[in-house]
Amino acid sequence: MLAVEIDNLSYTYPDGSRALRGVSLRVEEGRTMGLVGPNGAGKSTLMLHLNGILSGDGSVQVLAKPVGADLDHARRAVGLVFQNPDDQLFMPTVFDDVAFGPLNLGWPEEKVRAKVSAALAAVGVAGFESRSPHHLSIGEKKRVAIATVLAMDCRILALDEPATGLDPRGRRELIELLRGLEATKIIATHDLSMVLELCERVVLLNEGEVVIEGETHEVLGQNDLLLSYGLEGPRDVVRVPRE
Amino acid sequence: MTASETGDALAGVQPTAAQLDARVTLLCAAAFVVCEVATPIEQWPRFVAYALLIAIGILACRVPIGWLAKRAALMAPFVVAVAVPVFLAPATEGDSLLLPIVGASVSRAAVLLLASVAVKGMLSVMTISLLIAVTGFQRMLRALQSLRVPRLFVTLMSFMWRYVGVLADEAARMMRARDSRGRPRELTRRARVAGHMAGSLFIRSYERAERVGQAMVARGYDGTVRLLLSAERLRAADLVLAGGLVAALAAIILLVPNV
Repeated sequence: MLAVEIDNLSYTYPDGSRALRGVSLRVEEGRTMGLVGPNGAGKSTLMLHLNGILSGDGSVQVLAKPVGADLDHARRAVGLVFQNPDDQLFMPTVFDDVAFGPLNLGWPEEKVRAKVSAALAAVGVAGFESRSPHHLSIGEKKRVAIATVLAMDCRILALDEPATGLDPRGRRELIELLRGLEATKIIATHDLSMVLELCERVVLLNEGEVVIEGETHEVLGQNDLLLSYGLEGPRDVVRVPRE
Repeated sequence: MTASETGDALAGVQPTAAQLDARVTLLCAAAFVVCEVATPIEQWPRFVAYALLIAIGILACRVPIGWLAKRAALMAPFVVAVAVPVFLAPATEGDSLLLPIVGASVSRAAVLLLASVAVKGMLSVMTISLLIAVTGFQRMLRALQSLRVPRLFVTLMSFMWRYVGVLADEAARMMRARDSRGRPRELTRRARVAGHMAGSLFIRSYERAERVGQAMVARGYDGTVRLLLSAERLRAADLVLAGGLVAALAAIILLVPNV
């Protein structure tokens, strides 16, 4: 089954800037897809289409249902993790934040409490329920941000720049955490060596258009192509040209 | 960990006080504030009694004095803002008051107004601080919700509590950035820089609000923020507190003679 199927999607912001131009994309269920491209390529805008926060021209289907036709379905299916955890974590305590989505789904109190504990345990911050997000480290905030969508049993996780701002150990722990999650993952990032570790396929986006889509090794091996779009392939795949 | 980090009762607070039902402490604080604010400032003996009552509460609950002093300091700008016009207001015949040391005469009504703002403000700040210290902000929010305070109001308070620190950090970063590039010497230029910073802080907050809104909608927000209510339970101590406060307030209002 296809987790995400996007056909000819275009989106223009109210100020007239065209963020997406005819993007088509397929992500199979259970797979991990890397979404790479320079700043302003349209990665975040594309993510916001996955559960109908933005809706452009073209079709977006999630688990074989059009997003626009059933927003509840899309929001249950797709867990969006925003780049800045201070945007994602808006409630006064970690518990309230992780419980926010489940409560909106109308689940009974006991199930909500169980889901919150399980999600926090899954990201390695069990027992953080009564902490205030403001006083967590950036790594802890990122983990809690992921827990907020895990608690909703989302089958698709869309993560925007999940490793930004983390130190190397934090980044390593995050990669291992993401690797362990079973959901379909779409990861928008500049961190191509993380893409190499986690993603089976990659799509390169530039100025709102898909430049290339394919197997991770195949795409990341083309360093000249990556360089021309402001990216740099990871050293372990790219043969560095000799003088 | 302090109360501001967990949203629970302040560390070191008397344990029985920390277990009081949040709804009861909230209602008691509200009743006390309403009574003292509604009392005319001329009835000063009642204010002595109010102050005594709140002092007993603070001592009984073992709220750290340093922590309270910081909160009391928040009143200073308001008192100053009222004090300035008071000393500029012209004293009229029959309404003038000779200040003992300064030797100037000021309007009696204006001085009373200043005293009213300072005393009532300070009593209110102390009451709310005592409430936050024993109950904690989180439980207070939940108590507000279970007492059927409009959800929008509770949500606003909760957002304010969550983001005031984020905003303060952002402002501090901007000020560091300004200082590291040299602080302008002239007051006018400094004021202009401060104005630009305030504007940019506003725009950043506005943009953040938009992103937070998206994050909320992404997780199924439909206009209602749902909080799971904590299990509050009425105990004997709660009844003692409520009964004691009602009796004390009644005694102050009925027994303290009018001046």
